[in-house]
This record gives sequence, structure tokens and C-alpha cells, in this order.
Amino acid sequence: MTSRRVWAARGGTTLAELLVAVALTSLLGAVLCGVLVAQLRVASSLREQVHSADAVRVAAAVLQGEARRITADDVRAASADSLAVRAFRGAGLPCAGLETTTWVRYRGDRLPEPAKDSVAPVGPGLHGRAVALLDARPAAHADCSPAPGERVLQLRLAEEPGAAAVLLVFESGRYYLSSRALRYRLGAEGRQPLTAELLLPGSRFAPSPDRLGIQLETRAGGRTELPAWYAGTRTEELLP
Amino acid sequence: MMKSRRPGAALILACLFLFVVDAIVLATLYMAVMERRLAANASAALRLRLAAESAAATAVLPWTAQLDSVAAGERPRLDRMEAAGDLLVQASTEASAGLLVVRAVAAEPPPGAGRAAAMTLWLPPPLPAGTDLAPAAVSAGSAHLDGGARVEAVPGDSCTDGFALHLATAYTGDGSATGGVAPLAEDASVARLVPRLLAWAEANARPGFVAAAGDLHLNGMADGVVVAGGTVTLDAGSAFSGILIAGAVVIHEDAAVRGAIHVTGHAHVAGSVLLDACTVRSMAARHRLSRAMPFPARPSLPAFQ
Repeated sequence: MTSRRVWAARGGTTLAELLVAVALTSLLGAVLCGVLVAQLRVASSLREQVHSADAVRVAAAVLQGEARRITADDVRAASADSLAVRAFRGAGLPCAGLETTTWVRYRGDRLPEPAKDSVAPVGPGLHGRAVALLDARPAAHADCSPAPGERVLQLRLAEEPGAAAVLLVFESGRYYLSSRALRYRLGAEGRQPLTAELLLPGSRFAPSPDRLGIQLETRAGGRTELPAWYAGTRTEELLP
Repeated sequence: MMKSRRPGAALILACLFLFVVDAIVLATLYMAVMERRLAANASAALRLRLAAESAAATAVLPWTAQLDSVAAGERPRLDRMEAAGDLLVQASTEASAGLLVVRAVAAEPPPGAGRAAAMTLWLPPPLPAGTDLAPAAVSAGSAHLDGGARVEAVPGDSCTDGFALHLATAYTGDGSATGGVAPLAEDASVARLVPRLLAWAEANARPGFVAAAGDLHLNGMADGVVVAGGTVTLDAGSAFSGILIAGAVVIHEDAAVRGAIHVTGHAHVAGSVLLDACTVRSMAARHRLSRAMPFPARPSLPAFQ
């Protein structure tokens, strides 16, 4: 039997076959589209979760890193949505001095900037004192031999630093939780976001369960405890 | 033989389906690997930080004679290398304004590049390493013992391992000194450390540690450590147990001291003094006279890489 004869024998069924094929294809397409849409939703949800987790990680890393550098005396104020601190940006070991000018072996996140920084001398009888920084510039001194990673700087202060063992360079900064992001504000400048706006609503600063520290609550059940020593016994006073 | 010419979509659909499934599996795997890497990095960073903080907290403990040379006003570095597991930890110490700054760095072994640093601030102990606080009941430049005075270091007592008197010159008076008299070299006198003790006390106020730059009167019952730049006077009927370090001392009749007395100048004794090395050791340990202390105002400093 030739193929022409086979086709001839099946005449009259083409339309039905076509309709069935179209129906099946539509059904399959609908199912596939449904799967695709569902997958896109899952992907979008996962992406948001990942980015939100990133934001929490960044917030925790920034705040824990800052908290490790400070003590209770360096926390100026705290509330559910803000934390004002002395944010340390460098430390210098005095190696020579003449009245208000001091040479230090300096190591820090950045060089001191008189426009935004102050200096906290640390030593016997110098508790919590801060001195305005008038000028800071690299300058060698015969008595100052820097170790690897250190730079010799000449600091001019508003007053004599006293018998300081260390000069800590700090800026007055404030961390905010607003519009679902952790933000940082230096002095009177604007609030700069440190994370994406993906922290869940209700994130706040709160006392830790033992009342000895402050923690960042980022969502129900998700808590990042900051090192306790940075608030210590002042927690009640800061966050009643 | 019949040959099918029907165009089919099954292969394409199957490939598409497999592609979607593979993409989901790969994305999940990638996320799991990334989470694992992040956790491993966080764990490594924590280990480095703890190793550095531990080294910074222990670098000057116990206090050694080598560390005393650091506190002499110069800035020598004392480097200590040690291993914490597979991490390399280096701690350096230097003196600054009478305090000790300790900096420790922990680093991953190559090819790892992780590093963490920690800094601590310490108050050196007021007494140099190896200082003997109980060589005698009374150590002084000179001494006078009144008729009824008793200065004792009874041999054989487990808490008495020294002399009755440690003097630069022979004592005068009719009082009794039981336990022998030994010469005192000027540079061996604990009392020469009064300025250092006073400075230490200023930064480290503790109950039971009384410090005064000038003269001091004691009456009633007391124990602890007394340091004075001037003369310490124990009134009649008073009793003191512990360590007394001063420029000079006057112990009136019926006043009793149990422990040890160190004075640079003259000791006038009309009462009784009993050497008790156990009390002296106990008071020295309680007030950490031979142990470095974290600087109370800021024990840890921000460390920068």
C-alpha cells in the first residue's frame, strides 16, 4: 500500500486532530506558564530574603564592629531607633610633644580630619576628656620611629593633652533605624544609608535580656546582641 | 515500511522542563555553598578576633622582670610569638605615660589572609617582679626600740621566714628584737617605691589600700596596705595587720603591728611588731601589688589594622 492511499483512507479527521492538538497545547502552555510564574515568585521571594539577610548581616557587622571599639562612656544617647556614639576612627601613641602639639605614631581607618574629628586622651587622670583637633598632618620626628602599618602624624590640639598614654581620634556619629534601613549620621550631615531598605518593619534597639547590653532586634525572633560592655550598667539609663 | 513524519514537541518540552529543574537545583546549590562560605568566613573572623583578644589580655601576665624594664620610661618592644591552633599570634608591649599598651595581631597561616588585632591598656604593678615584702618585721634606715618594745620574727613559724630588723645602721634603745638583725642595702628597700605606689593608688583606688602623700595617723583596728610619703603614727591601743610602707614610722606603746613595716627613714617602736609573711603575702595578693591590672578607665582600646 502506498502512502497516498493511507492518507486517503484517513480523510476527514484532520480538523478534530487539530482541535485536540490546540487544546492540549493550550493546556500544557497554561501549566507551564503557571509553573513559570510560581518559579518567578519563588525566585523573587528568595532574592528578597537574601538581600534582607545581607542587610541584617551588614547592620550587625557595622554595629558590632563599632561596639567593640567603645565603652559605656562613649555612648552619648540611645533610643529604640537611634544610637549616638563616639565613633573611633584611629589611635595614636604619643612619641613627642611640645605644649599643644603632639607627634603620634598613628594607625586608623583613615587619617584624622580636624573638620569632623576630636581627640580623647587616655591616661591616668584623664577620664572621658575630649580635646578639639585643630590640625593633623604627616610629619617626621626624631623620637618617633613608626612600626609597620603606623604613620607619624603631628597633631595640633586646642589644649595640652596631659599625660596621655594613647590619643583616640573620634567623630561624633549617630546610627539610625529608619525607612527599613540602618543609617549613619555624622554631626549635622544627612543620614547616609548603610544597608538596603530591606530591614523588616519593627526593627529596633532594645535592652538585651540580661539588661547588661543593647541588642538590635531586626525581626521577630531575629536578634543581634551587641557586646555588653559598650552599654554595661548604663543600659537602664539609656533604654529604660 | 511506514515512516512517521509528524513534528513532535515532546523533546523541546522535556528539554525546557529539564532546564528549569536544573536551574532551580543549581541556584539552590549555589545559595547553600554561599551560605556555607559566609558561615566559614564568619567563624574564621571570630576565631581570629578571639585569638587576638586573648593574646592582648594575657601578654603581660604573669608580670616579669623583663616587663619592668619596659616601664622604665623608654619604649622597647617586647614581642611574643605564639600559636593558637593553626593561627599565628604576635603580641607587642610598650610603655606610654606610665601605662603599658599591648597590641596583639592574629593571622591565618598562608595562603589565608585573615587578620585581627586587639589592643589593651594596663597599669603596671606597683612593685617590681620578685620584690620580697617580708624580709623582716621592720625594714628601715634606722630604728630606735623603747624599753617595752618588742620586734619579733620567731624562727620555725611557717609564716615567719625573715629577720626581726633589716636596718642600714645598728638600732638603738633597750627594746627586744627576736629573730636577728640584718643589714639593709639602700637599693633593696621596698620603701623607695613609695612614689610609684602612690601613683598606682591614684589610678586604682581600692578599699583597704590607704595612700597618703604626707603624714598619717592610725588608731583603732585596721588591716590592709598603708602607703604614706611622710610619717605613719600608730596611736596607743591601735592594732594594724598588713603591710605598712612609709617615709618613717612611730609605733606608740600598746600599739601592735602584725605583718611587715618598710620605711626609708627612721622607725621608732614603743609597741610590738610581729613579722607575719602569710598576712603579707595575703595582702599583696588581695591588692595585686605584683600583678598588672587592666587600666580601669579604658581596659581595651580600639584596634586598627
